[in-house]
Amino acid sequence: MTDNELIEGFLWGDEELFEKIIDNHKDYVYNLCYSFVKNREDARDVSQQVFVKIYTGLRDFDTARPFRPWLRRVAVNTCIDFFRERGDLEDLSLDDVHEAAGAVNPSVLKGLVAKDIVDKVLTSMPVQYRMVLSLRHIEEMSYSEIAESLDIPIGTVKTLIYRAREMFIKRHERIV
Amino acid sequence: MNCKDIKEALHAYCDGEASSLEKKIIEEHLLPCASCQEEVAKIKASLSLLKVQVAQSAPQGFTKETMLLIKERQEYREEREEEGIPVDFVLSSMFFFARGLWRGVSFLKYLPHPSYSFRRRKLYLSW
Repeated sequence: MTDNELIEGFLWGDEELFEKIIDNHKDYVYNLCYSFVKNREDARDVSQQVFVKIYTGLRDFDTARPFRPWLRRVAVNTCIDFFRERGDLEDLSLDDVHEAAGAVNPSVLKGLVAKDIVDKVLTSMPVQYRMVLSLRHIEEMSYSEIAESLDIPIGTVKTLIYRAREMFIKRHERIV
Repeated sequence: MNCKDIKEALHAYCDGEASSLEKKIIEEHLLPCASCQEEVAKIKASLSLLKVQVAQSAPQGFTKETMLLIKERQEYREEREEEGIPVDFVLSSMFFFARGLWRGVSFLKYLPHPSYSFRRRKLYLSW
């Protein structure tokens, strides 16, 4: 069954189909949330919140449209809400982010493979930067899509990506 | 255009997000500039690194836990609806009542001080 068939069945009253929807998309949502929050516990809580929102919001979903982009939007918004509630994301502006804050300790990285090093470097970076990099590289979103998702001007996206990558390159070079 | 000005645009260029004019300017600049060519190589290397991130899968029992959470939320909502007056309504009416009260009290500051004499003021004006 396709996503939209499952959704239609669920909307007709078959509650069990929602379990299948979760099963089909749990890894995608969890991975997306993890790429933002970089913490397993928080990623689990946020992805559960995403599915709670989906459950209540499905009645407003247009089944003629693809499900994935809608799911992605809900997941991204839930992550933003999570950061805002925690006060990590006062606003997605170009506030000066301290370069030294959260720098990676090279001794922690001994024996890790390249993927893990990238993960550690990203974890050490500020939330704003991590989010734009995840949206760009994991979700493969265009600049305009990122601007729309985060509700910021496209110029800000360009600058955020530039600063984020500069920080990533510097920190990665320092430890490799 | 010097290297410093072009640095930010190089990222958009490597992402294929530069406009045709920007692309033309950057390519003209890149031809003779070795340091910017090196910068582009660095950016491209970082792009391939960032694409290959550790894929995470949801923890075991995720679906069941989520379904339980949804049921709990639903029950809570139903209980709240059964209680009669919705919480949203109570909160909003409390807010408007408090605001009205505050406005009523703050209006007092426009009244004259108790020592102020209307009679004297009247006499002064007539004189």
